[in-house]
Amino acid sequence: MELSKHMVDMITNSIEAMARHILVNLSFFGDWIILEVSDDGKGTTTEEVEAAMRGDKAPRGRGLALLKDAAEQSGGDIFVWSEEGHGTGVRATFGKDVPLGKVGDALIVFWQEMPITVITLSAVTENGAFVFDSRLIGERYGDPSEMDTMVKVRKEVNHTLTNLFGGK
Amino acid sequence: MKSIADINAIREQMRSKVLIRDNTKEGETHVFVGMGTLGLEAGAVEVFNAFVDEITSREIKNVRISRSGALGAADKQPYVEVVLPGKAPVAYGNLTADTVKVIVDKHVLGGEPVTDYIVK
Repeated sequence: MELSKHMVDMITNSIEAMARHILVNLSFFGDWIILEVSDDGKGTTTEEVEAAMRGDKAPRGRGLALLKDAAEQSGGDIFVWSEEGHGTGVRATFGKDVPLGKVGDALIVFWQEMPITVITLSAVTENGAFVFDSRLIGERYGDPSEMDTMVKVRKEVNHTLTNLFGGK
Repeated sequence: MKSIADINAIREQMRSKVLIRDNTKEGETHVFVGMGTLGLEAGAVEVFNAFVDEITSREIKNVRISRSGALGAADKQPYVEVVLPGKAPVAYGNLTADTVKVIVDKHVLGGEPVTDYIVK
């Protein structure tokens, strides 16, 4: 699965954990791509995290095990931090050959949630940096209730991230 | 003083209110795309974006496309529900960008569910 789709799965987990703020970081330096999602949701226990990473929650909640497998197969790893009542952070490191996918297509999946949950996406690579903040949609892109605005965001994020990641 | 559990309960209540208010515009067609892990692996993001493309390129108004949690059986992914105003939800399975076009044509615009892709 492309990184952008793992990102959808991770953001979904944050929303299901009742997060009000979700921070997504994508970075690409040297041989590694790092995808990190942190939230201020309800958090969970170390035992639950370990069970999820083993895939014990399958078929639902299989996403974290899948992410772990994908990261490890590419030579990378995964680190999960979570604390009940505080939030969760997941950082997955991938080898550079894993495809990025269309990050804009993935991000707009959460368009209806953005008025309720703040989603911030930042990307940093050797080629530059980019930040998207759902609170600034109206100011930067247009009326959030118009689907054309969603399409504008999708196009810009796809285009910018592809350039930052060197056409991956 | 309120406990974290109380605050979470209030938050959840408010959230469902917000969602309901947000999602019940008069006369609006609503498309829900199941975005569980199985859906993602089968191409749910592509199907979501295919709906966005069809609706915007043809300038169709009063349609809302939303992500939903996991929907439908494992062998029916990507799985979508289309709800026309005042009508019961119609569930479609194993969708692709091409079948999305047919559903937008016949069901969203024409009002007739496409029986070939309906799943129970």
